[in-house]
Amino acid sequence: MSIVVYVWILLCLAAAFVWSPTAAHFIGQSSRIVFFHVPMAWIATLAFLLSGWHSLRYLNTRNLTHDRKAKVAVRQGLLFALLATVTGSIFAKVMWGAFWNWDPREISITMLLFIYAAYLVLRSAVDDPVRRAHLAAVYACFAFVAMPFFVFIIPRVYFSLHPDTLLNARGKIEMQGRILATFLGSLAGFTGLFTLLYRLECRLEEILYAEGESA
Amino acid sequence: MPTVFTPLLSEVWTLFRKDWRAELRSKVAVNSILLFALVTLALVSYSIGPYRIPAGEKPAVLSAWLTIILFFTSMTGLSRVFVKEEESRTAETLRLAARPEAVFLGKLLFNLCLMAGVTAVVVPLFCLLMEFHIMHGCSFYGIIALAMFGLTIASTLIAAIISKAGMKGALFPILSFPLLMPILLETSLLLAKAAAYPDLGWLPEALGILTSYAGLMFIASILLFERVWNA
Amino acid sequence: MSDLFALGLVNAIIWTGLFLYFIYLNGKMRRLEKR
Repeated sequence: MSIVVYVWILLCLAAAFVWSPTAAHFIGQSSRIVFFHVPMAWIATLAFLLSGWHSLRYLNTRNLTHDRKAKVAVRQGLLFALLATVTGSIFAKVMWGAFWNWDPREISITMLLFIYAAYLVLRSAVDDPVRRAHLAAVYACFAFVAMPFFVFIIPRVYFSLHPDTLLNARGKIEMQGRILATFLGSLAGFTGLFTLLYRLECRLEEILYAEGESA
Repeated sequence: MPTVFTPLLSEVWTLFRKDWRAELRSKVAVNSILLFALVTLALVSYSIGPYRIPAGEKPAVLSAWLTIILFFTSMTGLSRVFVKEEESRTAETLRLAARPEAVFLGKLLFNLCLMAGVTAVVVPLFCLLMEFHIMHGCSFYGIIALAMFGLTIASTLIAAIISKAGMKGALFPILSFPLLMPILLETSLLLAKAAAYPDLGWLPEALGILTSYAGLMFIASILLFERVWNA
Repeated sequence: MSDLFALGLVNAIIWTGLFLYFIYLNGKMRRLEKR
């Protein structure tokens, strides 16, 4: 399974740089950044969804496995959110001349970063494992409620610097042909990579817990 | 004494009055929160003053300042309502004596009154000191009221969470900020508009956003509080 | 910043980030094996 993912990623890298053409309305080669930056943001969101789901499952079942899975999701989500923010900021510098503009999507990713960090700080501030799991799960669910409000409502209301989303207001897919194929391939590849990473760390956490070491 | 219509509401009212009376006796929360707000106001007024900001920039800058002051003021005072229960070890008794929903609503009511009182003092004073001339007064105050309402709801649940953790004082802003970020950013934008835009076409949408935030936070808090309270 | 440099930087950051995280996980596994 992992070999497939690695080979696929290599293929996508090749496609991203060689096979797919650049898009119009972008400066030079910079449109290729979409093959890297957007999957990062997508995975950060996926991790957020995972953490919300597992937190909810924990609150329903009181099974600590879900708490561990939520924690792993948050940790990895933090990594990908950080990567998304940094790559997005580099792209912003090339396209719009400034590293940071407080555009609505930039605000959402920042909010996600803060939520992840706050979640991890909360976990470190509680000693008792069961209480820690409860409080962390509640916080994650609360954040889960607040976040879509921001991600989906505000950008629709206000003008955004970001290029139109894949499915924009007119309901059409703007990307064409090779670019679309490379983009979807890249998305799939990174999602595969995340799946590998997530399952690996979850297994690790289970073992650590069994050995009596986890925090 | 007002008549209350259901057992839940009377429980809420009783809890609220208990906190209110305790607060009136010591006045700790009110004093510290007010003093914090006044000191911040004094600092801003002294260092920047009403005349150093060019008139065109004033609405945006002053709205941002006001939102910042209100945020930090709330961070100073809103956690007390739960932390004091844990610290004076009356929390266990409260858990036995009252339903979780009633506890949450009672504490929320207390926090709302606290924030309302502080806002009523701080905002006019701010506008006075900084020569903040507002074009649409009702909208301005209405937006502040709604925003603070949503902020207090979210903060009250977070206060319950941190009351059970270590590092309570520092943890409160850390946990609150990401969740309050939408409302804070919105508020400072909207206040600038209320102060300076000639027409009010943007108002219905703005009120919609603020109200839905408050409503969403309220429902989520009510659903999640019981798990925090019994954690 | 030139566009090619930006693309290179983006890739460098992503792959370095992922690689470092992988090393961090490996470190944890090694600690486990030592016990």
